[in-house]
Amino acid sequence: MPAAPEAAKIVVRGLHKEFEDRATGRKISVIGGLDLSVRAREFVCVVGPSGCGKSTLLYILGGFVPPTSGDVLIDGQPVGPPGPDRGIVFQEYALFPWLTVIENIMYGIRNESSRAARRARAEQLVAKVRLTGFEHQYPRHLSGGMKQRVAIARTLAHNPDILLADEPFGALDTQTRSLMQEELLRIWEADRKTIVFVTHSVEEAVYLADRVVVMTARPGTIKADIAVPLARPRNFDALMQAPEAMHLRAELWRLVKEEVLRAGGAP
Amino acid sequence: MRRRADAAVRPRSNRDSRIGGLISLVIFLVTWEIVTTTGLVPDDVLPRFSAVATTWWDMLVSGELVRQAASSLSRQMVGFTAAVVFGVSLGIVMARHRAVDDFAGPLITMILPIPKAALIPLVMLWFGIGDAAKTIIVFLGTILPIVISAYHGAASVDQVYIWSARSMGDDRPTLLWRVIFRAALPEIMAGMRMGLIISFIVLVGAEMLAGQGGLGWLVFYSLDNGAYRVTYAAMLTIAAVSFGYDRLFLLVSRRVLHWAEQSP
Amino acid sequence: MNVGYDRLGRLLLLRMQRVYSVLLVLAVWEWAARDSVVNPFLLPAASDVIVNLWRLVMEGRLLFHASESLIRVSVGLVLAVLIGIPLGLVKARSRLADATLDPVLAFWFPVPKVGLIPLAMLFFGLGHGSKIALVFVDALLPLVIATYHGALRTDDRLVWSARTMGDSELQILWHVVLPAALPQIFTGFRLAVTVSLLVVFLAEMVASSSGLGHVMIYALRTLETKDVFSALVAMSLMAFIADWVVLALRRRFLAWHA
Repeated sequence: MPAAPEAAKIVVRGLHKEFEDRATGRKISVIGGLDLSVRAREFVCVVGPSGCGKSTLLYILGGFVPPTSGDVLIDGQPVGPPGPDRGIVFQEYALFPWLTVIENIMYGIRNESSRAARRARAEQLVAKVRLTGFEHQYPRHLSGGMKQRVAIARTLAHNPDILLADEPFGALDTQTRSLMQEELLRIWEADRKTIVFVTHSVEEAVYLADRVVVMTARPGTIKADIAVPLARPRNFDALMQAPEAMHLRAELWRLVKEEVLRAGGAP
Repeated sequence: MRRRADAAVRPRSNRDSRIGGLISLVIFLVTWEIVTTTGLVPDDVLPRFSAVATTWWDMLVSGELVRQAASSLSRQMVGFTAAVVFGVSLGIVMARHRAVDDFAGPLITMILPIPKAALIPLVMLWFGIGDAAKTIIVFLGTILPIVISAYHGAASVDQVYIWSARSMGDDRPTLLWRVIFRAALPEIMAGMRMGLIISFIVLVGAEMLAGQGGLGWLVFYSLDNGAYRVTYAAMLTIAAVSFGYDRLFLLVSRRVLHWAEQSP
Repeated sequence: MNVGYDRLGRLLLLRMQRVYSVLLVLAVWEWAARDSVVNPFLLPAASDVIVNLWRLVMEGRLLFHASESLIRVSVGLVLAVLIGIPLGLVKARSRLADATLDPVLAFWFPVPKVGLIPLAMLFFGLGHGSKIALVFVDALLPLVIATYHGALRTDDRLVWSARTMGDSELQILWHVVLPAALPQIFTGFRLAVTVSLLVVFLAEMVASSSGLGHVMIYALRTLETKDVFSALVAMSLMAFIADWVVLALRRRFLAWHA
């Protein structure tokens, strides 16, 4: 259903999530009363200490994991099973190793329209993520950054309203990582999907997001919700120097560190 | 990845190992010929290789060998194919459905230790000594490794593959076929090869015990009649057929799994 | 430990869940045979099979035949271990040995060695010799291959460390490469034990006057079907115990291994 430009795309109210520990039968509360609202076309980053339930939040939005209690609404409707309206990108790429680059990208649209149209769409996406010439390679021949670009293209192929990203660049080396961030921003600025992006890097969050949500240690709730009022398009190098951005990064780092220490983990 | 030991062992080229194979074969045959012609091993226990080779050629030309090999292979193929179809399906369904696993898992654990040899008299008791019985022996002898490998393959499919496919709109049957089956394929193929090797063991054993034609029968029947040259020719044929079959399987398997990190 | 009744109940339920199908199948089997739904000649009741097994044990016949099979398997396996492991180590450490052995292994691995039963009989007779030879041939290959792969995966740096501490090649083989390969060797050994039992029983069925395989095939020929099933149970028990022993040895020798 069409949503008004400023309408909330995703609304989470009083979300609780408990897991049962198989060995002891004890309940573990991972998310403890979380409220969040994401507007359409907004880029939101979620940061927090390890184990704070930020990935779980993402899986609940994706419909992979059911909430224990609370409301999760997408376009005003309770969240349904996983479907092509919400694309997801994982840190582990999750490319099907038995399919080539182009076959992976076409996976979600293989039943749609004509063969030629699918092909054209896939070729266009290959160009968009700058993988022309690698269409017929298998994933094992690709570097980590290339794999993640295929995964992003595959997700964009079925044109989801919402893009969920679970630390997508967490396994990449620093250089590749910043190139991929740049690439993602370029793609996002072209078609402005709603993005919920989980990361543990404060720097990445400030560079990418319109808004950064800081989660508390387990059971996770929202500790802070901070707007990033930096102009777009953003330039990574300039942003590293800008006092405004440096201040934001320091503030976010302080908030996350508090929670890491509270969780008892060594910073 | 851990490194290999520092000995000068590098992957041998195909050519190297083909030449090595040829050399070993020649040495083996020459030794055979020498120990028999010099009388080191009595001729009635081990006929000369040249005599065996002549017999083998005569039997090939007369069509006897082809007939017995076809008889064995048809039993093997029907039983093995049935085991693959049924075993892979059962293994995957067990891995993805708790109730099926709870039912079939303990039963499989219970019958797993039964030595495959024990199947032969049992099947002979129930189904006699014909082609059907031997096909059933092959089926029962090979199905367990296939079920178990399909089960492990399907149970260990990475959750992110499944989630990715579902977020791209796959329903359950599609997911099972397009993602889980394919992800499990390397393990399934490994289990199939295990099954393949076992199939020849139980088949040859069953043919020796139950007769009614086939290469195993030929080995035993000729031995009973003192036609040792035929016995040796038949043993060589069993070795050649099973080796060729395995090579063919590995070739197909490498083609099917060309996308995998490690080929079997 | 703080185990409440609640947890105990859950565990019991879990156990039941794990065996209900086995109990169900045994019950159906028993009922089908007792009520003659199937011909009890073709499928004697489970309880009759067990009672019969006990009778055979008491008569001493079964233990004799089991020990015959056990001797053949054990001797063949010991020989295979004594020769297979060094062969695998040498194959991994010497290029010449590798090139020589590789085609031989590649050829023999998929070939059913039971085809050699006549050969074994001609050379070693109908007694222990022929079965030991067959077990040896069948158990050798998994051991050589497993040892080879285990030895190949030894971390270079361990070998280098030993060398800087003055170990000779032989000492390195014994103190570094062998322990490093041990996990794989046990995997190969486990397979070797399974294959050995398969082969020894098969060989006893084809040509022997003793051993559990002989008991089973003799029972079939004389139509003592209860004995067929009792022999099957005895063989399975032997295989089960053998596997248990292998795993116990593994735990003992691989305590350091995760």
